[in-house]
Amino acid sequence: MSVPTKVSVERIDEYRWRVKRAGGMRTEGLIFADAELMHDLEGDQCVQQVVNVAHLPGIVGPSIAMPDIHWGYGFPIGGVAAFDEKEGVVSPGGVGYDINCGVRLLRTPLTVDDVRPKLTPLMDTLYHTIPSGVGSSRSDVKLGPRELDRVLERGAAWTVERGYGRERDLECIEANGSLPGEPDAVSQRAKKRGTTQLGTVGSGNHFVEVGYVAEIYEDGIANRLGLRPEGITFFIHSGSRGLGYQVCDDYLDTMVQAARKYGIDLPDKQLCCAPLTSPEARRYMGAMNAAANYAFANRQLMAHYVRKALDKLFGEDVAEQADLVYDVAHNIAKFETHEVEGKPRRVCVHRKGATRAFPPGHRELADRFRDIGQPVLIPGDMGRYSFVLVGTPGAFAETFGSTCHGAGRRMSRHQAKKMARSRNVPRELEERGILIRAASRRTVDEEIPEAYKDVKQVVDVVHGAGIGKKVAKLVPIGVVKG
Amino acid sequence: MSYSFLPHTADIRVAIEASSFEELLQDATAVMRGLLAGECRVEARDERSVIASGEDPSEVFLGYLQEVLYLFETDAFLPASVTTERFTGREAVTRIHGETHEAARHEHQPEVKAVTRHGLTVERRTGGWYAEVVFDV
Repeated sequence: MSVPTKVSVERIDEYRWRVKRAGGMRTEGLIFADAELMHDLEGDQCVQQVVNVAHLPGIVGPSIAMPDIHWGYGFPIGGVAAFDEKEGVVSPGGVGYDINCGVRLLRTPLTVDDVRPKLTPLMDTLYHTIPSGVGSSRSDVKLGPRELDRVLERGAAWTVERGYGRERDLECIEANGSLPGEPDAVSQRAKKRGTTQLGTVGSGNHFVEVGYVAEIYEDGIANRLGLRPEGITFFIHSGSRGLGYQVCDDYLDTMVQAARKYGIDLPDKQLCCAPLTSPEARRYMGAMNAAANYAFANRQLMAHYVRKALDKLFGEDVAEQADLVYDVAHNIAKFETHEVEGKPRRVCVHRKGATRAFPPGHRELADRFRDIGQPVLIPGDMGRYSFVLVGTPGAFAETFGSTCHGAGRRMSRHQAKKMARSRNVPRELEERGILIRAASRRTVDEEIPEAYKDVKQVVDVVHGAGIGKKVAKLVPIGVVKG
Repeated sequence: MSYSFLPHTADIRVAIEASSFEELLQDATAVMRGLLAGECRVEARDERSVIASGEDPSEVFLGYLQEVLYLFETDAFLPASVTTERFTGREAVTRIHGETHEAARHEHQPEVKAVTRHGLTVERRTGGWYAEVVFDV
């Protein structure tokens, strides 16, 4: 395979950069970034990964990267690529190990002043009722084989049926929290990893965060989403845990064989894939959807325990009014219809570290969002801020209805640990009014705010480029880390 | 024992040099021990048999590391060292020595989600073997 070793990038405008087509690339690359973010990518292999994705068969439109792009495995993190349903492929490396890693946001009737006096017991309650850290598990929600299969089939709906949420929650989740999952396509190894992990945060960059609305950019939309100045919110960031990682591993093995069987030449083995029309692809999609359902149920269950904590500390009325703003996936592949060269075309959109951002009027949105667009949740690092946006027609026209997913790392874990070694990061954050509860000191050190790009800069790019619209800024006051 | 951590923005990328494939697995086990238990001591109190197979040494190497991770996640088994009883190029028969993770003795580490194929290199070089592998964390 001819893979260009020297990547040629040219600036299109203030927020867009073109990666020129060369060698075996089937299309060009399109990177959203300002000059400073682009400069930061020097020495990082993520631009080469944009090039690698452009080699895959059946790619429609450019190989896209969001401003939070960084070096991943196979696809870059922050990558979006669409593939024709007949000519294209699906690649587990284009979804990632943590299938349907995503975020959800709850709003409450409380204000910062209500919560500050009880922040310590609130953080302690969250830390003890929502297990975090490596290998975290729950003894109170242990799933037997039949129940686990129901989770894999039904997603968040299973959780609501079992009393861990409300019917109304479902319409505030991407795809209503349920994709056509096939439990039979999920291996016993994956199921074993999923038996006790439902309702757990995990580790790394996953978290449960208490914050408040610090700034509003779109009054009307913020009001519709129930986001009021100083209003307390809860952000939950997690995915499909060990079950999802194992599904990805299992199907990477399958796809290595499939790529050879179907004569697909790959610039990186981690991009192994199969034609969307093949039995291998159909089976992967069934297993991936099942893992995505596990992730939807996982976040739904954690939201239930957030409500329980509110009930315990602030009373039943407050817990009752803790409504879901939205829940989005940022590691997924989905069949969607998009307009390509003036015609509707069904494509499989891979979003790896990218968020769906459907515009006002899209038929997949619940009525409550139909006139404002899909809420988009963009968490930042644990020391600064996060953002709520909505989807735009610009995203639908240019990025297959996608936008960024977070801040994106700019510093290696090794560098971050070195920088944090002589510091007491939890104390530093506490002095800034942010209480940390964490299973591992090393995780906190690796996740220091300086390790990430400024998410405001990332969000300003997507806002400026018209592939997302800023609605509100949230500031953390407490974070549970793995 | 010779391994080093290479630059990577988000994940853990490791290079290992060894005089034999058996030593390569031994060094890779030490890397995993560090990722799963930090600098805490891991005793060889118990053992697990692992047979890793694949079409070439890189797939054998990958399969071995994936199995070590799986044993940790499903059985809380921490690796201390490994004895390779047989290596054929397409299969490695091993016994992993280690013990069960105990929160009081073993420091919590960030989760290792997977051992990836991204940039995976396992090859014979003059005087031994060289491997490069990226762990998704």
